[in-house]
Amino acid sequence: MYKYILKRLLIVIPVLLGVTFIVFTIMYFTPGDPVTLILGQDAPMEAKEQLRDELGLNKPFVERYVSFVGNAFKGDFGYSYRTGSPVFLEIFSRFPTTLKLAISSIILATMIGVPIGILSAVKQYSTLDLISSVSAMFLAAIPGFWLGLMMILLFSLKLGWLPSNGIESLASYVLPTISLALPTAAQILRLTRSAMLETIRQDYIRTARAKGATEKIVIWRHALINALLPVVTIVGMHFGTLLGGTVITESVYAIPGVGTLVINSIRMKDTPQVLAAVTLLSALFCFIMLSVDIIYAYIDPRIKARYTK
Amino acid sequence: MSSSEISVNGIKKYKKKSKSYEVWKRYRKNKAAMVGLVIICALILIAIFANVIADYDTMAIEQHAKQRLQGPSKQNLFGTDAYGRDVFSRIIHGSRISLFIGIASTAFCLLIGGLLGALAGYYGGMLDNIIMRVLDTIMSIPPILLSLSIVAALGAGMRNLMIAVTISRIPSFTRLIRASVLTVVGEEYIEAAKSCGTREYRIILVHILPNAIGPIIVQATMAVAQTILTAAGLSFIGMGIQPPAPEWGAMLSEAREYMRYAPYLTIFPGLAIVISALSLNLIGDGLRDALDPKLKN
Repeated sequence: MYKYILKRLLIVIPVLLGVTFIVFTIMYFTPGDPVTLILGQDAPMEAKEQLRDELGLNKPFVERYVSFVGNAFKGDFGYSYRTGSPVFLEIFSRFPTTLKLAISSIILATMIGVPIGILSAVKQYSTLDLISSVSAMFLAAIPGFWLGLMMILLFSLKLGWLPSNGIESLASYVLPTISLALPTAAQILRLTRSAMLETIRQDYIRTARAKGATEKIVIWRHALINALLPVVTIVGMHFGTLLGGTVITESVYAIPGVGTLVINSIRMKDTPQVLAAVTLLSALFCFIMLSVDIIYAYIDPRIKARYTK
Repeated sequence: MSSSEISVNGIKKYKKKSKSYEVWKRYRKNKAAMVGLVIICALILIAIFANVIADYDTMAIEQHAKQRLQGPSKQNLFGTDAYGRDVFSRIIHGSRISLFIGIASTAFCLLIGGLLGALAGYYGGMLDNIIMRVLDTIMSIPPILLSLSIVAALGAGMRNLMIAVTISRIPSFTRLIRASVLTVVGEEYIEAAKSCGTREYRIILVHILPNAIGPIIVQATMAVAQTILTAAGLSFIGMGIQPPAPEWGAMLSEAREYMRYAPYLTIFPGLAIVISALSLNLIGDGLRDALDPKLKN
């Protein structure tokens, strides 16, 4: 088992290096002169030149990348062009908000998607199955940000129940959480349903029924556990996607999270800030996927068996 | 597997039904999928004849200060926006942009993903390893962030938005196509082609790809819908199509300021996105069931 975990951990290193390389390259080609951004349009040429040297902007691409990775290993991602403070300061002050949003959304999405998915598979072609399938179909076609706008229209502007922007209180999290959770719930629902349907048709379920197990035991003990395996993967994957994908929803509700930071920094051409935020979110994404794989190995005896000889 | 005609002494003509006809017959029975197909055909016709329905310059772009923020009426079916432009005309012209981005970007994904997937699947070994590891790395960046960074580097606009969306989608396409190619490579007709001395590029392009792409069609249909959603999202936060172009996401972004007074401005462009994505998803679902009846539960 440890061998498996170690193997998976080792794969993460080159992937992370690759991710920083890709993001760094993209950012390298981003137009805009940071020196002018920091010193202003009218600064004298010598001052600009000096700052450029200090920031290392005159060095060739490879050298800059190596020093970026080297510093990143030491936890130093550089300073924001806009504020002059370390980029991590800004990210860490905003990250809890994004994390809270992603966690609450994935919990809500799982709580909706998994039980309804199982129920509609067990009672296939029932009214519940029909309603849930149709709603999932619609939700998969609704862009999260528009769902957000529509909910603001209804719950904030028309009914005045919930705040439409900011994160002053717990109530402010309600709308963003729902608009992130519903499309995800739709996908989890569809996957859970088809995984459960597939499991129910397996031979061992027929065997269980044949030996006289009650329907309850067949569903709970034999079918559910096996059907949930792919669901674990998809929930983990969506959690990772949500962490990096709250960008647009954060912008809809004007939430000061990492997503809005990325958008604002892109608009301001604050490259170190973008680079650090995207790298951090990608690294998190990798580690979430890694944890999913490890959890999967623990709960799937087939993988476990391969490594515990 | 196209239709073939067999004639015996010129008397009996027997036409074998083609596989695509079988698929179509099964597809036709699926009502939801047919609705999706009809809607998408209508949307494509609207996109093609957008200029006949409403002139682009005078209706969708030109500003009329006197007719600002008029609610839906007989004259302006969906009302007018903050610049006095007819929302209905803008949505109609927006269908051109969204459908084009969705279809063209998916076509590029199929093309590039198809080539990479075929190379990786056919040759295997080192090449396969390199291609797949690089794509795994790209996949580790959350797609929306990757698209955002690419748009930031290249600048906003139609072409760059398409590049951004395409790049972030290529890895998943390549994976699918590679898996599909692997199932084809072992087939006997590939061996037959090899034994005839067919050149490798011909084997890949003529024998492998057409047979491997079939199962991908379902994913491609859904991908068009996903791309439309992503492109609208990026335009919504100002990182895609720029105003005054009547892109649905960009229209929603403009409409946001007037939500309190003119809610219809946020409703109609969103509905247009939902309808096009929904109909594409319906087609995808229908195709999947029609292509492989066994999968239908």
